[in-house]
Amino acid sequence: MVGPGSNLRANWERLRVVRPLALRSLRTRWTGNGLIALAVALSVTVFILFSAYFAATQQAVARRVKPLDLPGDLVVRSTAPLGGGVLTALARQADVRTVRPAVSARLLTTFGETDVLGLDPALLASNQVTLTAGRAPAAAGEIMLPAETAARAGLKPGDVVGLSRVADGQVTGAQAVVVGLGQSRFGYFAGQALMAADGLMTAFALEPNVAVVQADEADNVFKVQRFVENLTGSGAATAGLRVVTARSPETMARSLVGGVFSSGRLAVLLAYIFATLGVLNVILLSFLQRKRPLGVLKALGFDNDDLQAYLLLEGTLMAVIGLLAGMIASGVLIRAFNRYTASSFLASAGSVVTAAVLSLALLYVASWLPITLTRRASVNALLQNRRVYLDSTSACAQCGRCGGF
Amino acid sequence: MSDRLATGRPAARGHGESYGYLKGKRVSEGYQPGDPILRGINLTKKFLVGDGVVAVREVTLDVMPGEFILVIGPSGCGKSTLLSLLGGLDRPTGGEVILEGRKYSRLDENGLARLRRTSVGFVFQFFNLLGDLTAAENVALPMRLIGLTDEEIHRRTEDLLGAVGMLERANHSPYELSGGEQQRVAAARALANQPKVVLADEPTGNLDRKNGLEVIKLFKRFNAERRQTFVVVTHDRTFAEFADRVVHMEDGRVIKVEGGAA
Repeated sequence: MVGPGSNLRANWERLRVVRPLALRSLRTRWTGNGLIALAVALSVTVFILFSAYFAATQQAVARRVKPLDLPGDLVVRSTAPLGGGVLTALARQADVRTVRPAVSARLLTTFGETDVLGLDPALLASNQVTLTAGRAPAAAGEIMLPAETAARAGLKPGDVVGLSRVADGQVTGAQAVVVGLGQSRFGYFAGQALMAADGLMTAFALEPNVAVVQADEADNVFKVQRFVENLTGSGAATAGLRVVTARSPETMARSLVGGVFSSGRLAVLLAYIFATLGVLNVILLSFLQRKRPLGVLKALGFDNDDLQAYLLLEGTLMAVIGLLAGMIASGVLIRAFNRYTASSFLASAGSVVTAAVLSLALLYVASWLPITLTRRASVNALLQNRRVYLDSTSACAQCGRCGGF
Repeated sequence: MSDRLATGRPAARGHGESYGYLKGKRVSEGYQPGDPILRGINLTKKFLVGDGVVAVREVTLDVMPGEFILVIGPSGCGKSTLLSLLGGLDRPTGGEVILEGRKYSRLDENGLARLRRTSVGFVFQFFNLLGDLTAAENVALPMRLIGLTDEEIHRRTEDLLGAVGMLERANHSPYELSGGEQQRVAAARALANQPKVVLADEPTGNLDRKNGLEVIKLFKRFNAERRQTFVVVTHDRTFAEFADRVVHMEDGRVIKVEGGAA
């Protein structure tokens, strides 16, 4: 009777016969087999690293696309002080609910040169800024740093940092206490230290160069934007004025960061294609070097399924070794990247499982050609190390002048 | 050939197994004791190289059970090709091979493999021991294929290696053995599953005179003691004294048979 049970038994018997051969082959052909494992390990490492990067980036993007990523419905920025005219004009606009003056400055600090944004304490206290430690600045002399910047500089809440600004040949200095750490790799707050606007302006004698505007209704944001642009066109506002909204080019450009994901996925795909070609090459080379032994096995009575099981088992063992090596390597690299760089990687069990499935798929795709050649070659062709063909019965195959393997 | 296969029978192992067969055709033609154990009928093998090379031309050869046949001829006369056809290592362009009533043309590739596993032993000119395995493992491998127990495999391996005088070197790799030693291990491997027929292709071709003679004597001893049938291809006429029959080949044809009847 032919049934699943008898097939299972036959395959188990087959495995019992080919297992010692495959294990011995791993030992004796460790260079070629090692290359297979290396190719698999590299592709697994690339896959897990990229997956971890995507996971971290996607989390950041999830934060970025929150509606409160901007401190208001729109932000008016200028390279020079806005002047009271713009702020007053905005405040009088019927479609505007609030206008809060703010300031942005490039400062020299004890942790390097950085952009510091001074905002209304009410905005800082809102949930627009993601806190990872401490609290938002509430008064003059308090500062909140990007968590990555603080980690690089070894700063923590409670530390005091020095700030200075050079303007017109004069250096102005101040000190601030780190009260909180935040995380914002994308969006308006990305990479900026945050302070209370009044405190920052007072410490460095700055005029507001940013206005945070909230429209009375979401539908009126565009109206307000057009109003500011008209102000610029009429010359009523200072030069260098620009408007940042959720839909402005600056914001849109940041959303294009998502494109990075596509190229990252392409890199993973390419890594797997190259790994497949590499594994195919090594397996094919191994087959070509082993035609005679494979012919001997056939002559001794190994049938095609036995040989297929033998070659697949050998390759699978290598793939498993490569997979383990790749997992270890990617784990080490992710830890190193997270520790020594500003990058953030989040490994997941899903990506490891996917890498395992892809590795086995890679191996089986790469094994198809050598296995098919072995199955279709005559015993004599293998024993005599003759060229073998995918279609061994064709006249072309017997002629031997048209390639073959 | 695979598209001509019959239903997929389970790949049973061991003696008395199914050999696989082509749809609707009987494999066995009712073999009777006393019939030739191996028959080559009008065998022709043509290779499509250039204008076509005919390596074997309509050769008919019956091999009786327990016979020791020597196939002799100059290099390139087709004797090795004939042996390949008789052993099912290659398919003939024309004609038929029948082993114990089983027609090769009606066996699929896996069926032929199973036939070789149990009924045919091969000895090659270049020994063809598997370099990954020790001498003992090489001898044991065919026995694993037919599903013998480890104890039986161990017992038979010792017996065979002892018979060929290689027990002391059972755990040596083929690379550590001389040509003569390798050929003796190859002979033990060929006899592992107690095949009906042993086919040897130039078994002395890669050995010096002394070792060559020892190997032929070994074959003759197995032939005499175990009643195993041997067909040995060689170009060395001096071994003719050991044979029951000597088949002379030239240009792909049998030109003369000495001793017995062709």
